[in-house]
Amino acid sequence: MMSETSIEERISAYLDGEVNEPQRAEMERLLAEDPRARQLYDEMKAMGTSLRSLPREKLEHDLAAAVLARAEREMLLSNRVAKPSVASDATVPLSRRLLRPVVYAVVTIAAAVMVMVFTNREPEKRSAPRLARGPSVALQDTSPPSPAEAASLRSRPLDKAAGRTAAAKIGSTEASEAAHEAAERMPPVSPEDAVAAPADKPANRKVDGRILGFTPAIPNESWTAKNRVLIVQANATPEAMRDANLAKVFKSQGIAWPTESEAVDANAKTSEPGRESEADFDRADQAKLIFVEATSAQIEGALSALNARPKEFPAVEVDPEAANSTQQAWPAQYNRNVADVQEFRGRFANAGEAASRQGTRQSRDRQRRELRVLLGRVLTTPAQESMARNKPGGQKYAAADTKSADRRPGAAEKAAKKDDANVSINQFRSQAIRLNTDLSSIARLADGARTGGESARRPASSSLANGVASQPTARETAPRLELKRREPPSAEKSHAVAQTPRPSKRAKSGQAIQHDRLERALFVFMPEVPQDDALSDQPKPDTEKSPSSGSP
Amino acid sequence: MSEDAELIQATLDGDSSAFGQLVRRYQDRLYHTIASLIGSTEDARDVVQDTFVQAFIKLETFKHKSPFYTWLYRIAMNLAASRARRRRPRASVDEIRERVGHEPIDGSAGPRERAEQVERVEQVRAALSCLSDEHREVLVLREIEGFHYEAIAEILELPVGTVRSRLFRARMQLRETLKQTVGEDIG
Repeated sequence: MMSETSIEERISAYLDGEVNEPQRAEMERLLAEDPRARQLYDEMKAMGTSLRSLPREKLEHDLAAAVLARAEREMLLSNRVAKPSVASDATVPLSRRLLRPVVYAVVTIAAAVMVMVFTNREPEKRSAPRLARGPSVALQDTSPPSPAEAASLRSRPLDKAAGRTAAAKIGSTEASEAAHEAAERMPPVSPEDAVAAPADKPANRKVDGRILGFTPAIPNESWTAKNRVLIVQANATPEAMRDANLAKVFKSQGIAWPTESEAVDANAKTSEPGRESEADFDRADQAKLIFVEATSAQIEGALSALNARPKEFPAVEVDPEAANSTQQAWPAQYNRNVADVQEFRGRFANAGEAASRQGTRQSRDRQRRELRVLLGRVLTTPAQESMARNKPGGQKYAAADTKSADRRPGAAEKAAKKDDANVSINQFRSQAIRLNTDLSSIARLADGARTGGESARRPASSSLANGVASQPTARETAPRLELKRREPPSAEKSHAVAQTPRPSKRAKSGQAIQHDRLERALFVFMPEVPQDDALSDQPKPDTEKSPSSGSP
Repeated sequence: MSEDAELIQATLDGDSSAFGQLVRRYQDRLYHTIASLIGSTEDARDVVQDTFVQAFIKLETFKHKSPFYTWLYRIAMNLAASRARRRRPRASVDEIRERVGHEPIDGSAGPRERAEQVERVEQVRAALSCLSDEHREVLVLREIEGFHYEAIAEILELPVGTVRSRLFRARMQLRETLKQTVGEDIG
């Protein structure tokens, strides 16, 4: 029997031409002499012919566009970037990384559209983009803290804003809580504390012996921000977290805010300016991610506007690594690439998932505090790592450069036919897009993107907002992100508190030309949670609370 | 450098349209093979799309040690296997019959010949769908795709000897199945 099986197997191999010369000769002899072997050979051959003659299946559509769109979405929305195997961006070829701005642009549009279905929007009409404004507010810490200074950050209160940002800089729960306690004991910083400065000079002030200030944001021709994202973290009071108030910040700079006309869901709840709905206010205690693509002057103007309202935004922090960066070209603050944002969003989603799973108010508040720590870690990635990721050059998609973009009517539509990626960026011009309204919606968004949007269509009134545990999904039962994967940032990394520059009329015209190009920024608005509320399981704070009282 | 390699390099250099060309080049071939393998055109379409998405995301890991299509096929086979595990029972004979009705048949043949062709296609597909997954995949790779044993071994991550013996068993199993539906003479 064994011998028989061996012969049949050799016939099969012979049929496929997968035998050597002696075996071939042997099989030819066998097939000539043995009718049974010959019949088996013929049957196998006939079966092969039948299989090969099956009608060819053909796809009706070109899959290329769908594949690229999905790949881009996967790259952004999946938490793959947060896994150790791919977290090290240095292992990814530069050329590959340069695709990510396109990825980000395309997916962010999709994400924003989905999110807007469930969220109320501030109904003011979109204002026309305004290019000219000043002054530049590229943040610069001219004196990075020494280890001793960093130690003092941990132990000694600075001011309300610096105290809170110190928590994120140092990046540990202990330090975070210590800094918040320190901030609680100190009076708020008034705008008068800031020393106004002419537009062509840095607006500096001294904070605890450290010189902080702004420098003119003059783009260096050799520098490109096409693949960079500026990350700004701002703490905001519940009042300031309302859509209408956040919108004011961006609209004051001519950055279009998502309007009602952009709503996908015609039944989306709206609110009158200045009379936010209950739901709107309810979201005011939830972190918000606002992705902005606008001229650098507009982005910096928004930064300036935030800094001009210290009571509503007690802490505004540009990427803390910026000042320590060895990159000389302007502005070093734009030293985050899309991978950083992706990673941040991945962590953000994980924190949101965890909050959804646990459901209780205490656990949600704990998660919120944990998120602050996460933010600190993400934003304090070692500068060297970030620099290694951000070598400019090789970017083929130049749509971010308005000089090369065709602005004639219909030009964007024509470009779409040529290159989906380009038009995606074109559609981004000078606008803000809300990436999420609460911590758990991002996770749902990611789920929805993978499952056809069903899960994303759940109402945004998440467990985080309502204190009700959502139904666990497969994604929610996934292992939690290892929070301690990153090393805590060193003391030398902590620095930089944004200041309040005085707007300069003089800077308008010149910088309008200089900044006629698009940059990207991710504004992370973190709600200031009253300490007593954070530790209680009581309903949300009342709406009569003053903005400044929302500080922890 | 092969044309595929050039397109891959262009993709890695930031030209995503180059990957679009790769998709267009291989989508139908892959689709036909996967449809034969899993017996559902709808699932096959999803698998093919997933395959290209994964290929795009992991393109930097492709080392050019084997042809791009082989690498692509390995991804597709893994995805198809995963889908097959989730979706049991697999393609039904009814589904095959339904699909056969829409397939192009040799127009030059007479009505009787055309009916026989339809029947033959149906029988072969039904028999193929009756094979075990591991037998079907090796048979499809060999007979429909025309891969050599070495390539099949690489795609399925098996020793060549295993491919050889598995292919033989797949043929014997298919032969038995066809005998049950067609009769003794299958040649």
